[in-house]
Amino acid sequence: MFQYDTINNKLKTVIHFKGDLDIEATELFEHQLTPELFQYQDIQINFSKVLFVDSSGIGLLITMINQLRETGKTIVIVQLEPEVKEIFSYLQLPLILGEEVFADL
Amino acid sequence: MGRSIVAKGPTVKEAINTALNLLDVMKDQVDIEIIETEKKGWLGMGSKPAVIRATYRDSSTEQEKQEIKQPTNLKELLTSDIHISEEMEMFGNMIQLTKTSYIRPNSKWMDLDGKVWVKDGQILCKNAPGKYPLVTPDKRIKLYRNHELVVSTVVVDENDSLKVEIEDEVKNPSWQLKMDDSMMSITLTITPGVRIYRKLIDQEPDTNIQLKIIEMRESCPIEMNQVLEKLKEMKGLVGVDYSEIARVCEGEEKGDFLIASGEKPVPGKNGYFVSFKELSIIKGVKERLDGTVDHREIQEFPSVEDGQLIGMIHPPIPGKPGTSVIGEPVMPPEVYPVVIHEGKGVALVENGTKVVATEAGQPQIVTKKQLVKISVVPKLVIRKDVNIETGNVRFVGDVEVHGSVQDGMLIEAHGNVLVRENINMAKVSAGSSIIVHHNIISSEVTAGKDAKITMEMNHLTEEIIVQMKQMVKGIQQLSAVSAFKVSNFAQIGLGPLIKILCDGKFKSFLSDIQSLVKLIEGGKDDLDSEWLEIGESLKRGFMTSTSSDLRSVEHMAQLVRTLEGIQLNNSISTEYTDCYMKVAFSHNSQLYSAGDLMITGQGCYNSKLYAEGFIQIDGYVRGGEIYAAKGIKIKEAGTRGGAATIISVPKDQTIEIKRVMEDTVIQIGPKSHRFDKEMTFISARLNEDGYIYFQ
Repeated sequence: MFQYDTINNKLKTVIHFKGDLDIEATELFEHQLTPELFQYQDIQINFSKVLFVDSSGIGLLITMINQLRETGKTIVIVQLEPEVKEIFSYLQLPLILGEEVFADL
Repeated sequence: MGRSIVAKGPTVKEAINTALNLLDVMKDQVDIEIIETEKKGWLGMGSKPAVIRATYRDSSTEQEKQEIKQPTNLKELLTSDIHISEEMEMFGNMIQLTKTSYIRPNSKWMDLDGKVWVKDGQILCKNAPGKYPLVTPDKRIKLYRNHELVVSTVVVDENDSLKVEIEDEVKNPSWQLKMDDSMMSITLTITPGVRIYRKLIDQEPDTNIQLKIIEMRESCPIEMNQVLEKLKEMKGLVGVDYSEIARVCEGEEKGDFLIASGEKPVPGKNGYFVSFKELSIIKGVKERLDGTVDHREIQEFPSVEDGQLIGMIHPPIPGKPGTSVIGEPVMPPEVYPVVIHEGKGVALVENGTKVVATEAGQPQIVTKKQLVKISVVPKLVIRKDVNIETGNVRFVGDVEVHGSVQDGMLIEAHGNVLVRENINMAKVSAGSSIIVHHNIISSEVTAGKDAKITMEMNHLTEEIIVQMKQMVKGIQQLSAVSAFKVSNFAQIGLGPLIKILCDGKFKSFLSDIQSLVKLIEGGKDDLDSEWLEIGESLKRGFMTSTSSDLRSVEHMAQLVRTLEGIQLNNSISTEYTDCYMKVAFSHNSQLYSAGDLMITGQGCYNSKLYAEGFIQIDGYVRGGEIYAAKGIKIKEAGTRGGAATIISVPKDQTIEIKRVMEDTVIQIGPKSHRFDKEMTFISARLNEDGYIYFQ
């Protein structure tokens, strides 16, 4: 079950992802998270509680980040779990989304 | 009780003699009791000496203070304890005395004093004041002195109990029968056995002796009956070589021996297709010594009339079954009939044993293992010129023009084109080869348009196969990471993952797929159905963004295999449709050939020639440009002060010209050379340093 928490401070918005980033998250991503994030400018996504991902989930992430960046927002992904990090580097996400998105990859 | 002595000897007689000598009496003065007769062993092994007891009848004659005590029992007597005697009369015999008994030494054997010797496996010695006999054991001999193991040189005393232990070695043979998995042979594996007997070597009396042993080896044969018994258990009854079993059981050879072999099945022959001989005569194709086809000999394309027999189908001939070593039948490899893929213009008759053309045209026969594709490419024959009257010619098969192709006309054929006269200011393109018996003037002629497409398709397919294989491997690696969930593959397929991969690692992949699919769709009238199917699969699998119908990695791997199969097939048919162009003379024209290009007449004037194969010009080349991917051979090139002539090949090819005029330019790879004077018999290529040199 995928959930997220939003913590707002003056400088940036920190989103904590919790649970598996997979096909089950589709609805939440498309109807809740993405519209919500359009309100903010500097966004940091914390991945420390994401232990499993699947290709659909990664696809959702790519789509969302690309959409947000088109409107000039900055997004950074931090605290990736080692195995998730391995998957992201294998799929060359830094190349697809830009190196700057991955603060610690 | 009178004097009594127990004596041993190889025979009873000798034992008695010993006793008599020792007692120094005559035979009739003693009572003889035979305790044990001698036993003859094998090679001295297991032999036992004769034992007798001699008792002197007249005790009053006892003059010497000798006390002879009898051994308490026979067992003690026969142990190999060494008993030291003080008096030895004969070396040939051994006196067995208890330790307490002794015989006074006889003066004539005084030289034994302080010496030790070995006789009949016994260590004997004699004491002497100030002299100490020494015995050194061998490492293979256990010497016990007074029941204590001796490891190095020791002083022995005649009162010592000396005992040697020598171990014999018996290694039993081992064997094993093994039937191979196909039950066609039985192998006997033998590790031969051996018996090694060891015996103490007799040694002459000396003050110091080193004990030595002698070894005798004896082979241990294998019980053949046991082998045969086992063979029976295995039901190995067919093709058994009994003499071989006997030989290897007796022998000392180590190794695997084939002792039974079944009867191998005789393989049959697959069905096959034979085309009729006349067909190849019609073809008129001659092969050069190196196996390539000499197109120069071809005046006509091969053709069949409708109703003509193309070839015969021979049914498979089954093989003969063999017999396994356990008597079961062994089937020969299965034989398969040819599968005839009836193309256009072909029919099977007489229960599918003969192939007949239903249309006139050029027969095409492509064989791949047991699959034979036969079709007749239809031929359009125009018995006069192609002009306004006939109109442009567009035809799916071959086109034959008995006259000329005139101004402004067009011929587009999927097969071959034969023009018996000239092509004047026209455009001719053929899917395969072109033959023009006379001249091409101010025209554009292309041979092998289809071959060009096939080559492109091959190239794309190759590229796609490589990338898909990497993709399959990549997805497998990714799936091995436990944080990566593959459960969504079953729901929505590989689509999302393929999309990510194509955005990242495999950037050129989608465009390759698109190009190939486009080529397939463009050529759907000519291509085999397998191409159309794979085109559909690729489209559904990769070109529908997220909803790919590929559900698993295995699914993708399967698609790769299908592609590989098609490509193999395709490369065969490319070889078959190896096209060429043959023209007598070319003037102000553009000629393209996907294969070789030959100018057989006067030559070419101010023309542009381009060939993927080899170009050969038997006449002159005056002006224009010539390029051939596989080398160029020209009789005469260049003009005196006329238009520039450029002749080029890739960097690894050769240009040969018999006579080259000044100002002619040759280009080999990146290097070019302009001749400043006329030269003859040149052969130019690049040397190792990348410069043009002339051989």
